[in-house]
Amino acid sequence: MILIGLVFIYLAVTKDWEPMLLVPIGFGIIVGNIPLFPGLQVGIYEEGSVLNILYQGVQKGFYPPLIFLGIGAMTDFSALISNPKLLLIGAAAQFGIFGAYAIALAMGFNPNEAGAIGIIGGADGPTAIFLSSRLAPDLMGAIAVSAYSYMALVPVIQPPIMKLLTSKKERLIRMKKPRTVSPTEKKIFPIVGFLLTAFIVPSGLPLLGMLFFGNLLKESGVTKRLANTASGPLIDIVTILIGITVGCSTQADKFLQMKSVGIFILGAISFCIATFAGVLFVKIFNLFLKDENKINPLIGNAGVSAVPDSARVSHNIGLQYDKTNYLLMHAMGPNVAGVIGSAVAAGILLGFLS
Amino acid sequence: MRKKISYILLMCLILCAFNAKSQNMTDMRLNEIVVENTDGFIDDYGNRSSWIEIYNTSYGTVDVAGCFLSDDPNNLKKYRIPKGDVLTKIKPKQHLLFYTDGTPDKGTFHTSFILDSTSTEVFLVNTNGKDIIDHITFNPALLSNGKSWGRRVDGIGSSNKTGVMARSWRISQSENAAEGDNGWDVLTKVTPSSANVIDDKESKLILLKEKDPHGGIMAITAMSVVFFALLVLYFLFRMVSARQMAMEEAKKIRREAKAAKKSKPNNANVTVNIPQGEYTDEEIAAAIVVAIELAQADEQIHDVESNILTFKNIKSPWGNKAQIMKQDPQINR
Repeated sequence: MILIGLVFIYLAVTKDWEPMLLVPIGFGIIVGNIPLFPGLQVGIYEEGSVLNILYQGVQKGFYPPLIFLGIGAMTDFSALISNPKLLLIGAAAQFGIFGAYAIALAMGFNPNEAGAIGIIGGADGPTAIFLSSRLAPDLMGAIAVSAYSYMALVPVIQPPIMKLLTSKKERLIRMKKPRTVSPTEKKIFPIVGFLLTAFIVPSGLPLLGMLFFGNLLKESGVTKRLANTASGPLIDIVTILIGITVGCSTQADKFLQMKSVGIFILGAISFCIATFAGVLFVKIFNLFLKDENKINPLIGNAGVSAVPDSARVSHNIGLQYDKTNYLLMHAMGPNVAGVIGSAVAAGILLGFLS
Repeated sequence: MRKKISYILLMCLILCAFNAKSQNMTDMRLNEIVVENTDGFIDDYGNRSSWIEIYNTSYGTVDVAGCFLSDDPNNLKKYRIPKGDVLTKIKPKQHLLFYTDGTPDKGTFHTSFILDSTSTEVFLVNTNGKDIIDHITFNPALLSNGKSWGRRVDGIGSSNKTGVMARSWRISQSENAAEGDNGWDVLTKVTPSSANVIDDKESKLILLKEKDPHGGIMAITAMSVVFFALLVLYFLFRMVSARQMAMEEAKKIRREAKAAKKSKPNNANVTVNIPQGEYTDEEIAAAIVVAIELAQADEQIHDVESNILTFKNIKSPWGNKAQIMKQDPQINR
């Protein structure tokens, strides 16, 4: 396990793969696997130890909503508001979660374990931690590591699937320039978005509530200091704590099992299904749209809510075929819709399986 | 005015606080009773006595200190649960037992009245001694030989008190549910301070595994909900977006109309008089633009004939080199 921790740090430092997460997780893995004499009150599973106290945020599930608060305060929903149909791409990409759920069931996992594993396909680390801490605490370490690893691998996993599913003509589609969104619309969005989603899926309240609350802090224009704190120091602190404690919790006896291998395989599958579903959905959606409103299917992958990595992948692949076709702003729409979609999906799984 | 608003807000807060407290109390339920304890539960003094079990149906800890227990509808304040004992706090979904042995001097959980074969009712009353939180009636003849009378599912089912909600949808799930059934029954097992039935969490998952072994139903249901949630959001924001665009368009038109009204010359029919032969086309165009701008700004720079801009040659010092050159310093000798 110490070796795995070192590999994580190596990948983060040399390859720049999600360094903000892989460095704390990697170091946490090393800390958590130092042999200890029981009773010293220093281990993460020893009640009252410092690490155990910090781990409460993961166990009780209050770190992920705080991260969502920061994400909300950082996110600009303009792309989505200016073109609301992009929301549906975010919904389609959630097929990854439920596809992986079905495969996990077929592999012999219990429904609650399958639900926790499936959420890896949502490509949202905090959501994966939140749900696994509720549904399958024993698998949380493997699920979190798997989720963050695949988020770092988005630029490797998604492009082949995107290229496979699209024709050259489709990759060259130029989307209509998004209209300017008024400040009033930006203020209304978090309130209406929260009310609607929370009433439909109340079990997603902690994540959705904090996401939209953070966004309201940003867009209200009168709570700049709070928004800055949520999107800056607060999210940094929580990211450090969540990373190190999740890393510490992955102890060899619990982590080095065949189940973990299964989780890693299912994680990769769920990412592939999500990308596949997102791109395919856009292709089908285009059949019903007028020529001037057509969507470039290369932004379909961005429904996987790895913000902003998957949107960046859409943009870069688009540029490979047309140097003047900038897809980043368009791809940010399904990308942030994916964040909402994965939080809603997590709420549904929690409602069904807890 | 500000003071008034502060008072109103304060009153609202106080009312909310009272309401919250009251709400917690009303989440308490009488859950199980034994009137003839022949070979069952023994208290801390080694005695077998009748008992009443209270269950906290809420998701928060509730302190029942100050509430009343009684078996007499004419005297609801028979036994006041003492304050100052931390054990009167009932954690969420937990139980608390009171021995109805008529010996309150033995401690908080020994009531001043005795529940026996003559008793037919039990009341749990709020701290004001008037509001009945829960009330049950029973037939003691059915409860001989240590049998208990309890809710088939903890906290679920109606009480006999008018106004307490009957969760009949849950009761109707029971095989024994008959018309008028309020969720109470003679229990097959006596379960002091513990659940009357085992939690069905495990069975729920097993059932899910049995009914949906491949996860197809779950996937379809969940995806439908995700799509529905985002579809509603899509339609709503499409409407908001359309409305916002219409409002902006209307605003723009209003602004333009206002500007047109404000500007005195009608720009569509402006006659321009320019001295001939001295200027290039670019200079003329620039002059027209500046003149129109100044006219719209309502600065009376040009002459005042309606719809006519007249340009005159003005000898500006800025164009006269001789005038703008500094004088050489003079030296007085």
